[in-house]
Amino acid sequence: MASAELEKKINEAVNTLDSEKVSEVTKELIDKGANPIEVTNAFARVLREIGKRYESGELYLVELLAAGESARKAITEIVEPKLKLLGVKRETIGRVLLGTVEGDIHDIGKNIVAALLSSAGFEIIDLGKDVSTEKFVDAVKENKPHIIGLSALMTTSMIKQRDIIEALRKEGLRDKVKVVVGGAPTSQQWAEEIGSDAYGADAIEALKLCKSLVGKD
Amino acid sequence: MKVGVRRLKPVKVFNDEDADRIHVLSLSLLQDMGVKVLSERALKILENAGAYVEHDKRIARIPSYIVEEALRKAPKAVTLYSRNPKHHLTLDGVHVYGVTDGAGTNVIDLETGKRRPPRKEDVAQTAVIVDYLEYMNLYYPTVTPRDTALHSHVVHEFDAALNNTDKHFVAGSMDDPRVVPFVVDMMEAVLGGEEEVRKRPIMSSVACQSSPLIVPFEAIEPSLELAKYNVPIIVMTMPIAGANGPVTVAGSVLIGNAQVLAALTILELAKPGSPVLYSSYPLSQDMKRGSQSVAFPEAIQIIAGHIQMAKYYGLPVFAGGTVSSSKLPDVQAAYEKSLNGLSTAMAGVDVGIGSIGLLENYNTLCYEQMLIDYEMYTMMLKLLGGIEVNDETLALDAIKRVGQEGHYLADKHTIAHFRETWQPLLSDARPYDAWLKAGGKSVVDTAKEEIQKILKTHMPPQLDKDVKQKLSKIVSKADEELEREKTI
Repeated sequence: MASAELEKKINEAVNTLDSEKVSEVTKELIDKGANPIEVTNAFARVLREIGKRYESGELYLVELLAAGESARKAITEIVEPKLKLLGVKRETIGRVLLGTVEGDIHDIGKNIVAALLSSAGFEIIDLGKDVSTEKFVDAVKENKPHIIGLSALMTTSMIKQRDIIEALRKEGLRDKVKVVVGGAPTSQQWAEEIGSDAYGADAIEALKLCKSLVGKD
Repeated sequence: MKVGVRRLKPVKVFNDEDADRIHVLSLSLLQDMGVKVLSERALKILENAGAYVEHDKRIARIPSYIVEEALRKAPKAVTLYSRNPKHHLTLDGVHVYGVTDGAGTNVIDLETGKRRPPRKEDVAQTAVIVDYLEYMNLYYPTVTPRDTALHSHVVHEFDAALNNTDKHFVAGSMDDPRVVPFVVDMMEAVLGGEEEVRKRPIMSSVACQSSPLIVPFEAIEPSLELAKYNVPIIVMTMPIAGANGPVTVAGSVLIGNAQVLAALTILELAKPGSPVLYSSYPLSQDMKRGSQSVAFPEAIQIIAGHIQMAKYYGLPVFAGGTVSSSKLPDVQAAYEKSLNGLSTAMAGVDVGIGSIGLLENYNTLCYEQMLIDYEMYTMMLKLLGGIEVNDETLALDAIKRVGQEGHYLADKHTIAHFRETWQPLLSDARPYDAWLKAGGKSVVDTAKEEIQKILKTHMPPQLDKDVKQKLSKIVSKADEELEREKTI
């Protein structure tokens, strides 16, 4: 199949925002022998185009997220196993480790950021909510992310962001990873005070920052 | 164009027995005390129908049966026609229509921010904005221009409106019957003949009564002429509670209601079945300073009372809305407009919740305020829609799909319904730092930018060249023929 035709099919499927449809089309393409690397690249181009349409104000956030989510699902469940067989690892624009800090179970903001980053082509490792400082540090050691994102909704939990940065420093990891903080009680001023690399005021800002931190803006 | 739909039942501000009493007392005021009618023609109409007229005092005492009969003749559902048939408006108590506030005497200049006299260009530009805004359904000239011949101003307003929007036109200050042939000519030029004008007059006209109980010449004579062409008449009452209306809310509701019934009776006697809208724009007196406000709570209550009376009669109602006595697009404007608008909306108005654009008691046009009011209006429409409860809106499948810990961000139920949610035009929900980064703008700054963008980019539907020329000729003729004695 010509790559233009393959991209057209993926584009049409992704634009339905119907995850089942996207998986179905992807499976069909792979079953018919499409090159999984080409399929992955086509998804990346389609998502980039959707991202542009979002930035121009044409699309709504939920459309961007649904497109990204359906693509992510199809790639991880259908394309990646094929890539593994070929011994190829999927390229992403960066790896981001995310979590809501200890003592805080509010994760919707972090989830929006995760979905947005994922649809922009980042690899996301989501540690979930109420994540201990120790767990963050261990995950940094294990996954070697480019960026770590720390979310907090409450004044009582935001102090954990400072603890985590401190712990990373003690472990000698602070200069190996960029730190982005966010959440309702936080601010640019707080981010600077605790030595974070950046502050994402909202999901859109977080995406811009992450792209810039990995040199893809 | 989009249209608001009311699913909430109108809120009543007094009991049904109280409405009965206000009705009965209105009838007895008209019958016993009588109404002053400053039109010989209208007095004769009343006299011929059986009213007792004292011509020297210009007082008519109207027997109740005449008023009751007139109320029976007034249509209960009225259509307001537009140049574009897609923009016809049916006033049926379910659909809700947005309009500009009008007949202002000052403008806050969009570029300089300074107050100045209104120009025809302001009428044209605000018509463009109404044409652009989806939920704006009628255009009422926001200001009376001062750079045109004074006595033909209505003709100039109609000309500016026709050239910039194909939505329904409301003549806000038709105060001279000599103007009527000109506006009828203009409708003919646009619609292609007198028969068409009678079938679908693309305008309505305000007939503003005078308090305590006067039917002015300026209100009734042009209306009687327009009614010949089936132009709906908006019978407006504007008592100032504590000044030319009783200080109590009920008293001002009563006197205003009697005014509306008096004018309606004359119109229905002259031409039975004439479409009439009940209209109320009262004020209340600042008891210390002697100044008046359209937005003190008593004024808001009088509007709600009048809306309830209009509903009692089954008449369509054009009233109240996003009005304020503030001089600036500030916090006072916001709280007065939102409270008044919401009260009007809840009371059950057909036209007027979003009387957008004016400040200072209907006096000063503020372009930025037009959009700020429109934002409030679309929010109110959402509230009037009520809460729809069914299998799809209860979202049980989605709730089970997402479970205890997931999210609905990209769920298919969200995708299917997110477009039904209210979308802000101006309101900013960003966190502080994101807002600051985007310029840290106030809503007034944002509104100014939006208005500039609309005026730069929106292209309203254009009239044919020969129609435009016909209109210009009518306007020039009106300038010559309507000139009155110069005041200077």
